[in-house]
Amino acid sequence: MLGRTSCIALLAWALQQPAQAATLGPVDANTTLWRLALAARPDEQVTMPQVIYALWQHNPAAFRDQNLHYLLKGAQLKVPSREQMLATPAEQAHQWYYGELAKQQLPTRLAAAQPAKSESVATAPESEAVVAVPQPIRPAAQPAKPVATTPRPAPSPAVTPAQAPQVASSTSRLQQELGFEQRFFASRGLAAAERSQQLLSYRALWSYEDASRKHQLNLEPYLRWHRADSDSNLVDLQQAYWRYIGDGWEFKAGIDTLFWGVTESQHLVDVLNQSDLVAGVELEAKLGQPMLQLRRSGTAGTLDLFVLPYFRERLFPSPQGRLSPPLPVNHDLAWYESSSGKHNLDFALRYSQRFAGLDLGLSFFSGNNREPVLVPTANAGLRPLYYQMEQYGLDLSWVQGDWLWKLESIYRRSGPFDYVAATGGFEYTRVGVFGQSWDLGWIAEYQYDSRGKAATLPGQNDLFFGWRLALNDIAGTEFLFGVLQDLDQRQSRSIKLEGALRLTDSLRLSLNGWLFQSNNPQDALFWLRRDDYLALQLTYFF
Amino acid sequence: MLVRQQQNTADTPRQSDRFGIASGWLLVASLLCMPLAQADAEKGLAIATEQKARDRGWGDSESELQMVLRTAQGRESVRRMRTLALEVQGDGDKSLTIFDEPLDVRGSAFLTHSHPTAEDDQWLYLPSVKRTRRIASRNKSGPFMASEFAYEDMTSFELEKFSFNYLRDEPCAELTCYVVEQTPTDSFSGYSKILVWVDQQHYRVMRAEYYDKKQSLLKILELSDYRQYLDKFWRAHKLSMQNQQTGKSTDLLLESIRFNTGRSAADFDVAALERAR
Repeated sequence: MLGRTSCIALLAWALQQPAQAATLGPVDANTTLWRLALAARPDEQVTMPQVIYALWQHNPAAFRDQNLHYLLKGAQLKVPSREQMLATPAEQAHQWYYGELAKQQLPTRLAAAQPAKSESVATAPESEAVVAVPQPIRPAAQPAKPVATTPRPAPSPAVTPAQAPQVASSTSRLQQELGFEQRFFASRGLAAAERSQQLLSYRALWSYEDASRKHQLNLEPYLRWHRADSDSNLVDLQQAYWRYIGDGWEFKAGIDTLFWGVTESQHLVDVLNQSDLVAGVELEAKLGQPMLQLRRSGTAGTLDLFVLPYFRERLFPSPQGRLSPPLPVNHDLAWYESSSGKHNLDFALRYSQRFAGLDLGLSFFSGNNREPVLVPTANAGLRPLYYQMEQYGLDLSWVQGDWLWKLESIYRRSGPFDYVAATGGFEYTRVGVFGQSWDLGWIAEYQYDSRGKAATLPGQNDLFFGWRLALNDIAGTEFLFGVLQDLDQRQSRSIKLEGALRLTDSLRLSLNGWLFQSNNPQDALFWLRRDDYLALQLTYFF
Repeated sequence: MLVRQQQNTADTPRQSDRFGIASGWLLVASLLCMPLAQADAEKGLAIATEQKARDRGWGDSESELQMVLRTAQGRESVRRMRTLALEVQGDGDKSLTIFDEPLDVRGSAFLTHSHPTAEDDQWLYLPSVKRTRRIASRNKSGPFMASEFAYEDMTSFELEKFSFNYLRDEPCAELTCYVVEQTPTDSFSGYSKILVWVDQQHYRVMRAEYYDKKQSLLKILELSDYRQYLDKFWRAHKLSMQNQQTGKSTDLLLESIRFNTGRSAADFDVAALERAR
């Protein structure tokens, strides 16, 4: 009896031995190269293209004119060893194989390259799809002497081409949506504005991807019209860019809208794009940002570098458009700390990585602060001051069973401010509540800002509680109810309600309501205290 | 246990008594047969192993799917999506589903990295807010797109997810099937067991019966229109799931599938989710 070590040694030795020169064939009318390769494949470490490449390389006599797609009837194929198969890197073999397949789809080129042979008129599939053909790798010096000296068998009728997977062609998609929003305000507010307000919006998204899937174009125009407030009107490009996707890297040039971060009640680390205040006080809607983006991704994570050559000013509704600062903002008076103003070259960096249930993001931003400081002017207006800003950000989400833990934190230096802020909490989801197939999520987040009451945003020492209910029905009904309570000022809180359901396959009804309560003029919420509203929005998708 | 379950589902007390007695005998009979269980578990595992082995090596695929949801009253609504899938050696498969219809969820992308024993990693990208969210995925019993398919029905078949028990041979259509009982090892599964009919020639699943946690029959899945790809892999083009308790049903139709589309792990990275179109 052999000991364990000798067993292993024997096994290792056996594995190192080149496989016996097995043969496959003879090729008959039912044989395809793929089928032969399946039989020849030693294990799953070897990819199918590697097997096919090795078969092709070591059996030149089995193919007519070394054409991968024409196996000769009656041919016997020698099965190369596992090492021979692995000699060509998987990536190269893959490129070669799909290059060959793509070539087959170009019948004209094939015909031109081939000497006319009576019986060998290939049944190359008619295809108009023009496919980017990766340069096929030439086989390294013809190996295996015996093969080279083997006399070629007499030409015999070509057999069915290898089963060719379809090759992708370019794709483009267009989607559009038209929205009508009716907002009902509880009172006429501080500016004695209209209680009923209407907005119309249009959005289109056109995307294109070429056949190689390396080039992408995206175009997303967004238009908005407010019946009573021209300051709330908007013509924007949310996306308008070209992206090149390389192997482990990516480049993008143009306008894009990106979101960073994980928390629900506040978005601290998310600073690339300017916020679109008119679309909602949540600050989740944004304006498109011109950028160059370079991405490197691999097992060590994803690194994004951004160069942002142009700055978008924050747009505010006028007091007539509601949900606005108390005075109109005069954009003509905008002041920039940077001498280049809007053309300051902003720079950002983000690194993200995943560790099992943990998603980590680290970010850095340097450039014009997206959030202006508003100072009153002599003629009852507000002047926006755009300071330079440096921000270091961290975002984390960690999934643990039904619990999703979230944290966002920033350190920001900008003009008069030098502070730390954080939002952290959890979302706990229960599936199948109330004996239904409903999902109920409990959200709790704490908001901190080291500036305390001097903070420019409501969340300086606040607690957010929310409930998210998804009915999982055909209408896709869902609700979100949340309360943000200030812990320093008991009278300061905001309450929101969101809901949506599908009326038809192309019509969605959504509801959005806010209550603002505050009695302290220092509080960011104070100016919204008369703007409680409920909005109904109908969106038609086509 | 068995007796109580029958009583719950029976229409009248009288009937339930009869059923109660009958199933009581069944219980005794099955107890007597216990010594056979060991061999049946081995055979069950062997069948499942072969089933898995025959589906190994497909690499990657790209498919177009249509889902027809039907209420008990017969009202239909249609969902369309595309799924990219990547076979991963030594771990669960990865899949990326992009929704096309209904139009209000168009462009949403759902990414799953499944794992045989650990919880799956899942993310959802919502184009309206251009945001990727991680999804807590321990409980997979929830409905997928409001259909009769649960999330757990849509994930890759892994041996580690079940314990197996071969029950019997049974004719299924013109074929002969093994009937295998699969018991989920994950306590968060919505099922107590699944009975699966696997055809003896090609090891294709032809039918499955899902039992809820109370041991009652919940859903019946029938798979048909099998077609073979790459000379090896069989794919059903029609999967009909019938909910026996609510009368609702869902047909999942595989409209097209292509293999070896050249996708790699990079296409299934979270960072790549936002570029799915």
